[in-house]
Amino acid sequence: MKKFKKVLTIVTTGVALIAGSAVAKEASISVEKIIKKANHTSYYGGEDGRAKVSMLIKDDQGRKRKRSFTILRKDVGKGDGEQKFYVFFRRPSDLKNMAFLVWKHLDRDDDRWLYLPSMDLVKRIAGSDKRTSFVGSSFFYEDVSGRGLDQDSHVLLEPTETQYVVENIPKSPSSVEFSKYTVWINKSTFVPERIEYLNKSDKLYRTYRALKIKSVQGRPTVVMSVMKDLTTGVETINKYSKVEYDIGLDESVFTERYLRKPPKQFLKF
Amino acid sequence: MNVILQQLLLVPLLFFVGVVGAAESKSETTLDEYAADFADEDDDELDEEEGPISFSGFIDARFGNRVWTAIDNDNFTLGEIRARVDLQGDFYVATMKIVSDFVFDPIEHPDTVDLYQGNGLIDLRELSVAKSLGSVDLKVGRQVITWGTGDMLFIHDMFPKDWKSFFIGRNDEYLKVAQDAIKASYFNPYFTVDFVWTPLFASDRYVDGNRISYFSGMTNSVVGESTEFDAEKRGAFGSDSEISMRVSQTWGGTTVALYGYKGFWKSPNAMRFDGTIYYPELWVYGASVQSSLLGGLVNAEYGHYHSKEDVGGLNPMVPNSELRFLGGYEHELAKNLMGSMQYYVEYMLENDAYQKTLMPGMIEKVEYRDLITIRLTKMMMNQTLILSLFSYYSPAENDAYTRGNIALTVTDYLTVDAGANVFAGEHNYTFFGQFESNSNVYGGIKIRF
Repeated sequence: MKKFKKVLTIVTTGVALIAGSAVAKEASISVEKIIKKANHTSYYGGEDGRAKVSMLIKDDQGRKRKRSFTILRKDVGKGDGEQKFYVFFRRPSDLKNMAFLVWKHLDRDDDRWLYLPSMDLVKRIAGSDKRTSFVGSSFFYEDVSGRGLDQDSHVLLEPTETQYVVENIPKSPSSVEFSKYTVWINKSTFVPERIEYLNKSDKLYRTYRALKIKSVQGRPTVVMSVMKDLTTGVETINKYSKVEYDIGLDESVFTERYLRKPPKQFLKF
Repeated sequence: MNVILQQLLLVPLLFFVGVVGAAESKSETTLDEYAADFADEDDDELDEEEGPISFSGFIDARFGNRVWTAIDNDNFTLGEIRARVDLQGDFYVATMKIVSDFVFDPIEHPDTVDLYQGNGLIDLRELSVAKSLGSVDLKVGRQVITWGTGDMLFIHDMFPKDWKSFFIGRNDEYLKVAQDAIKASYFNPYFTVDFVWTPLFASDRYVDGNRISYFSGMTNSVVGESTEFDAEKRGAFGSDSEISMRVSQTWGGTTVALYGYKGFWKSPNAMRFDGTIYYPELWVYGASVQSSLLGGLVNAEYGHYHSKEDVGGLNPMVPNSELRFLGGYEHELAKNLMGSMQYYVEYMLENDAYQKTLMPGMIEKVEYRDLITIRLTKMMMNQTLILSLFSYYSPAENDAYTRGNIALTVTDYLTVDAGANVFAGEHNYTFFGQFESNSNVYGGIKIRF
């Protein structure tokens, strides 16, 4: 018995030391590094990428609306900086063949264009309203293209077993509808797995969950996610299929030419 | 020993119970439940490669009526059912597209099909073949073409418009009419050139008394059906052709474009000595710029309308040349509320010469006619309910035109909308004032497939 107790003590101490050093190691990763890696994993995998997206918008009465589109993305400029996005809609019928183009900037408003095929109209859209719904879903434009890291101050909270927990407070509170939001980021993949938004009365009103994560070309990729608006009961589920990185997209694809004439070679896959 | 072992085993057990318990108490939808939502979803349809042919369409039933007493016209302004067929084929050799409306109009019953006026059973909106050859995109056939920076105001968009549809409550897309043309676009990193050759002049579907009453300079009164007029068609293939060109580029979020047009005034506004109304020659050139500014969008456009047949302004039967300018700004006003404003002015050149040609009894055209427009768009209920308001007001002529619409997307396949077109003016001979008796309300149902 005495021997067992001794072994137990050594083992426990050993475990404590290892665990302790692991905790010490965690504490040494700065919050800046964590969010930078999470941002990179979410929006900057590879030099470019594409995916087919199936979006289901469900209201609290169970009524469903569906959107299907293909999204193309290319990183332009240095580091995790400016990007260009091209979205081509297939469903529903009133969005069919509509195309949407965003040139994402960090230092100023995004440039956005919408193409309406029935009138051959390329319409420029004001880029400032980033926190309005993307095609009627629970996702905002900002969720699709990414929120600038310097828009909020970031505080590292107590981590969970598997996740870093970061609290984000907006530097310009009047420009957003939340008072703060908390992100749970997976420690090994750096995928944000859950986000909770608190409104100006500090009440939880919006949540995001990554439901399914797959490794695509070695990159952890969210293939199913849900954004829920708790005040209206409306939730939007996104399913990403045929995700691919580094397909060799040329920057010229992200121009007015291809709004009028969808780049079929990249959209049919 | 047993006690310790038991305690060691208890820890993971408690942890497990704790986690499960926590999960249950949160009662969040699980992955499987969400996946089930997609089960009736044609999953395989999403994954499988689409064929080259795509088809879509709708059925739109629409009805409109005047709100004031009609002058020389029926009370009905609109009553029709349209079936839209949109068929596109993406083949290796080229892309082909057909867009056609089949119109059932129990009020008008037109007997003949006029593909240029959009009368009759078929209103063909597109019949084209498109091909890319390196840096050049070609599109040949019947097609709708749009460019320019104005919102419901056009300086360099010299492509035909359907003013009747615009005034009576058809969907916005019907303001633009297709023309039979060849469009060639050349792209390089420094600029883009768009070139459109329309071999047979495509006029506007102008107000001619049918459905919409207008002010007639001949009778100096508002007339309608009884005084429907026909303009001399420009039907000479080639010599009655139009050329439109645009050179554009975008740098750092600012788009600059230069434009040129050689053709004719789009609505018949000139008269020969024998009384025939016709479309005189016109050249237009100018530029536009559009950029983001202070969180919104700003645009400016300028054009010189060179009325080739009356450069000196001394011919009273042909419109004078004009300078046209437009400036606009768009910005989010509040959550889900977009607002924009424009200022537009048409300035008549050689006004002194014009003054000399005025005869007693003729209504004088103002030297400059300006417009202020306001647009408000409010989106509600996850963008399923959209309220739109667009208003024109002319300080120079003291008249106005307001378009209001409420559209509700009931499901992905069904939309209902209702709206009004209201004209008002101090005088009955100004651009909007003359249409006062045409003010109407309308409603529509659209089923998509």
